[in-house]
Amino acid sequence: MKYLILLTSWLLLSNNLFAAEALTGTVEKQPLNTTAITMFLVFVVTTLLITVWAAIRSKTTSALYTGGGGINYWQNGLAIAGDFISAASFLGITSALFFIGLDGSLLIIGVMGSWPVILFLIAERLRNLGRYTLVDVVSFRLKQRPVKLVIATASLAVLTFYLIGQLVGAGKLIQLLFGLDYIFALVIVSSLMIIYVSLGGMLATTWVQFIKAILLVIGGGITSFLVLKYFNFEFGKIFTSAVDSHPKGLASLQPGIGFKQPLGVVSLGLTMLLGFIGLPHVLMRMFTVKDAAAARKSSFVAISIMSLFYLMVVVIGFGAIAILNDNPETYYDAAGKLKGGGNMVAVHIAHFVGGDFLLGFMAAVTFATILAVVAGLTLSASATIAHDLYRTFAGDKHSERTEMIIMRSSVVGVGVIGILLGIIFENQNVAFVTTFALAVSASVNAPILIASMYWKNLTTRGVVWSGIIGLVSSIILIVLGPLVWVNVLGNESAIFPYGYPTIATLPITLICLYFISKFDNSDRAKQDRAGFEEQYIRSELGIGAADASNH
Amino acid sequence: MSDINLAGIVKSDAYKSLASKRKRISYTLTGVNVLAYSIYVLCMGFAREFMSTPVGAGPMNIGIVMVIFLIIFAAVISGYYVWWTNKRYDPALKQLLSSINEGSK
Repeated sequence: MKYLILLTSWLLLSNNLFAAEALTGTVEKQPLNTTAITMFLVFVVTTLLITVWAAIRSKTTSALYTGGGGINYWQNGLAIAGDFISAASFLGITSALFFIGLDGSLLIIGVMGSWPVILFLIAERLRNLGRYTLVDVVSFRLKQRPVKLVIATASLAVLTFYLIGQLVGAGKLIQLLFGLDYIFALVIVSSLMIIYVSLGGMLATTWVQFIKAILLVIGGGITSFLVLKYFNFEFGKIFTSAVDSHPKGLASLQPGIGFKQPLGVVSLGLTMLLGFIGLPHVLMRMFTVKDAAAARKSSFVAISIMSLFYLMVVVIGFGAIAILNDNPETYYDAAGKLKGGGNMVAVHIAHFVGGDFLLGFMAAVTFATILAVVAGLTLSASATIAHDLYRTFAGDKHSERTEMIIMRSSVVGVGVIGILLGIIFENQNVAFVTTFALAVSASVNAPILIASMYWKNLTTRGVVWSGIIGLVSSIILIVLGPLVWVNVLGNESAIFPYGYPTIATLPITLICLYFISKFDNSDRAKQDRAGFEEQYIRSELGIGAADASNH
Repeated sequence: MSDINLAGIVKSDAYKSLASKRKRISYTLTGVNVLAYSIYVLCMGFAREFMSTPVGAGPMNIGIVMVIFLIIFAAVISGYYVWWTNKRYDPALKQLLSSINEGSK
């Protein structure tokens, strides 16, 4: 159970572990790292110049939300990969492999397993049916207001919780890597994020993510190359040395040292597979390219980059077992704990194989990563508020001008709320936050999105009720599970045994969705079913989809 | 293009056969992918000894091989799908649409 909790915290966000460690006081502010700060400043100046350029081109809501649909497929593909390879994927998953060996691979294969499904079932239909958000697609043939309200709420829940996790993590991480104060770090991240998103919209956000993805792949490539060189390019030697150095020996290469409960593994597997499919800020990127074919190509670029990157992570993570454990005086403190906390594995490895320069480079890239991911989340949240909620509920009173003002104010609002929540959560164990985001995505967004595209009998009532029930049951089971009931509320043992609730919440949502839709005989339900044919034509042929811009 | 025309296209035999080919490919690939993922997850949970079976002389085992295989596999099946839709499906659909369009004039 202890590992399960730790692992949850490693997932996606490096930060959560820091939060946990902060309670025990092991996070120390590091001396000011000048190499890292210089490199980071270069990144900031470059991206701000791009934002100015993007701001001049972003005069309409369409440009703000999706860059007018005129973004290159390969740039978009790299940006998608960038969204997935957050600071946590790099720091968190390398650490997971380092500590729990093969069990850490569950976090990699979850991402790799979800993407082909997005490509084969979702990408093209999503592009053909929607304009800006996944809410557009779900509500395509259903009654607009109730469906949009429910799905937008679920999306906002996913985005906000994901964002809190990222921001708290950012503060802790930057404190560690750069030697800056927590609050100062938080303010820097939020302010830059507000500038990128409110002025440069999707165009700037994509460029930031795109540049960062390239830097991260370069950094990961250099690090993994040097790790391989350390083992004389003998791949098998990484594992032989790992077994010799890991405290658990051969068991580190076998399943079970991280996740004890078999059903817990299944629940984690479901959460990851479907959770990654339903992330609103990633799906939104499908609308930034000119057509369905480009969305398809973007997905392939993204999968290829992620595949390459995670192979590097495997080398770095397993390589770290031997390298760090064989140099305890440099990387462990007197108490026998990894210096700087559990998420520093990748950073220590960069330092070992590439010295201060590579360390600085990786620290700067990590900062850039947080910034890029946070910007994507904020953009998606403000598009949901302005496009899905304001536009729908304003009805005739809606105007393009007001919508842009609302979108930009939402960005500022999200940034300010982010800082406040970051301060409130500074010393809390926030592991549950990311789990919650993924669980809602897996239990509400993903199944309802897929059903809306493929199941003719889906009705408004089915979506509204299963959405509400899925959301509420996810909240309840996470609160009753080990992450909140034990870690946050301090009870002895959890009422619901698994950190990830999807094994229970997904069936609940699916059963409600099926039966409520099936037995819905209202007039609206007839309309909903009748609308499927038109939706099908459009989703297949793409005719009628908003035309891409020329620039 | 009018709506009536679009509905006609979707109901035509030529389109139906193309669409069913496409569905067969995307559903099969999804199935294969989900199956591979499920085998991995279920083995990680329930077949731990099997995953620990050594491969070769060193400490490498089926689990590690499976992880590396799945990372590459995702890219390979995605590549196949994108190749098929770009080279086979899209041109065929385009041809179909333009032939029906001309026929209706």
